[in-house]
Amino acid sequence: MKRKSLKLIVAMILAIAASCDEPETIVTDIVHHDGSVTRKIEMKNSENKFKISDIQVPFDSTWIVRDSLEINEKGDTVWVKRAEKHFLNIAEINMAYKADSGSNKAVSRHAEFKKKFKWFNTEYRFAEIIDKKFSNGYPVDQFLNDEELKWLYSPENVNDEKKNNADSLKFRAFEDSLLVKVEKWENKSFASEWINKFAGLLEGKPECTLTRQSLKTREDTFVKLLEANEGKFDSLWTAGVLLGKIIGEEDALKYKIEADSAFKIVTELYFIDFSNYTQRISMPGKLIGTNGNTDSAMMMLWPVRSEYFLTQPCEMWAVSKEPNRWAWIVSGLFVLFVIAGVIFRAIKKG
Amino acid sequence: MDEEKKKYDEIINLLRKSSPQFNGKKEIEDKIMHVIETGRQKADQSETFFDYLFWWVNIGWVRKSLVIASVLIVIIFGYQQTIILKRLSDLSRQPVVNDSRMFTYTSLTLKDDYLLNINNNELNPGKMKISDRRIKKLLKSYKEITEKYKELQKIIEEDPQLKKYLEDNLYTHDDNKIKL
Repeated sequence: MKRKSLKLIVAMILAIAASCDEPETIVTDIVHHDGSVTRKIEMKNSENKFKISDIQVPFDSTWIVRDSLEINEKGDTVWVKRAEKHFLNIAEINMAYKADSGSNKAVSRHAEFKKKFKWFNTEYRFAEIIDKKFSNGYPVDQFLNDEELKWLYSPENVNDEKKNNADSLKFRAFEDSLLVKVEKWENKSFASEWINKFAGLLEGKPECTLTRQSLKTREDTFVKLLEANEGKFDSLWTAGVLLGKIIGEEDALKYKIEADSAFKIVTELYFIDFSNYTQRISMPGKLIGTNGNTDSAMMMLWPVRSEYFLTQPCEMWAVSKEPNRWAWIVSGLFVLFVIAGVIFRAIKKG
Repeated sequence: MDEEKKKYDEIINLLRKSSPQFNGKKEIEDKIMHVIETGRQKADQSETFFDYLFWWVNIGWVRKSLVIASVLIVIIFGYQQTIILKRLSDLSRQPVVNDSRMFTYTSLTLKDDYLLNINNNELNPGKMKISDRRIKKLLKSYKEITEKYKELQKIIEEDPQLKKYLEDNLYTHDDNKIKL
C-alpha cells in the first residue's frame, strides 16, 4: 500500500482537480417547517464541462437545471450549473441516497429531521449523516486538541486566508504539526482496523493462537512499519516481508491469505472514491445550535471531506426554534388568572 | 301668673295625651326597603360574578393545583429561555465564516416569495428586512436582465460568426478572456 500523508493526498487531489478542471460544488438544503427540503446544487467550473457522474449528491432527471455564465469575484468568467429539487420529506432524500449512482455512491449517507413541540417553542433539528468507514478506528479527538480540530473542520479557504495573512508562519507551522498528528491518527486507525478484520477472519480456525487481544499488542509495530516504509509499504506487504515482522514468520506463512484479505478490505475502505463538496443548511426559524461554521446570515456551512468519516460518522446538524405565540398568550393569561384568583381570595378574607 | 302656668300645664297635658297621626307609613316602609334592596342587589351582582369566576379559590386542592401549575409554567418558561439564550450565546462565540462562494446563490425560479429568503445578501427563510418597493425594483431589474440575456443568446445563436468569435474568446484557457 502506498501510504501518503494527508498533505500529499490533498496536494494530489488539488493537482488532479486542476488538471481535470473538476467543478466546485455547493449543496444547499433549505429545510421547511413541514419537514420538506428544497435541495439546491451549485456547480462552478471554468469550462462548460459538467458530468452527471461528477455530482456529489443523488441526481436524476426530475431536477430543474439551469446553466449560466457568470463573473466571479476575481473578474473571471465561470460556468455555473444550478439544479434544484423539492423533496417532500426526509424519506425521499434517504431513498435517493440509497439509489445513488453518483460520484459518492461508495459512502452510506442519510438525513434526519425532527420536529419537537416544546409548548413555548417548536424545535427543529436537521442532520446530514455520513456513516463511518472504519468500525474499529480511533476517534480523531484522541489525537488532536480543540484548536487543531477546529482547523481540521474549517473550510479550506478560511485556513488558506490565515496562512496567507499576518502570522502566516505560525499558522503554516501549526498546520504542519497538525498533518503529522492526522497521519498518526490515520495510521493507528488503519492498523486497528486491519487487526480486527484479520482477527475476524481467523476466528474459528483450529489451533490458531492469534487472538484479537494478542494482535492488538502488535498494533504499534504495525504503525511503526507503516511510518518507516512510507511509499513502499504496498510492495513490501505483497512480498510478505512486513507480515512476518508483525505476527511472526511462522504465522505469516500460515495465515497469509487471511492477512491479505483483511489488508485488501481495509485498503478499499481507506482509499474510498469520494468527491469533496461543501454542504450548507438553512433552517426554519431562529438558529440556536449547530456543529458547522456559520456565516453572517446564520447559514451553516460544512466542508465535506473523506477523512471526516473515516473513524466516526460525520454528522452535520443544526437546530432551530420558532416561538409559539399562542402558547405564550395562553400561558400568560392563565398565570394572570391564577394570581387574580389568589388576590381575590385574600381580599375576601381580609 | 298662676293662671298662665295652669294654662300651660293644661296644653302640655293635652299634647301628651294626643298621640301623633302617622299617615303613609306603608309607603315610607316600601321606599326604605327599595333603597336597601337596590344597594344589596348591586353588591350581589358583582360578588356573584367574581364568585363565579374564582369559584375554585374556595376549594383548597383546586386552588393549590392551579397555583402549582402556574409556578411550573413560569419555571418551564424561564428554563427554556435560559437554555436558548445559552445556546445563542455559544453560537455567537463561534467565528463567522466569510465565504465569498456563498454570494453566487440564486434561485432557478425567481419569484416574489423566494425573495422572502433574501436579506441583504443573506439567506434566512421567513425573515424579511428589505422593503416591498426594493423587492419589486429588484424583481423588475432581474426580469429585464433575464430578457436581455435571452435576447443576447438568441442573437449569438443566430449569428454563427459571432458565436464562433465568442466561443474562441470566452471558452479558451487564454488569460485574455472577454469579460462580459
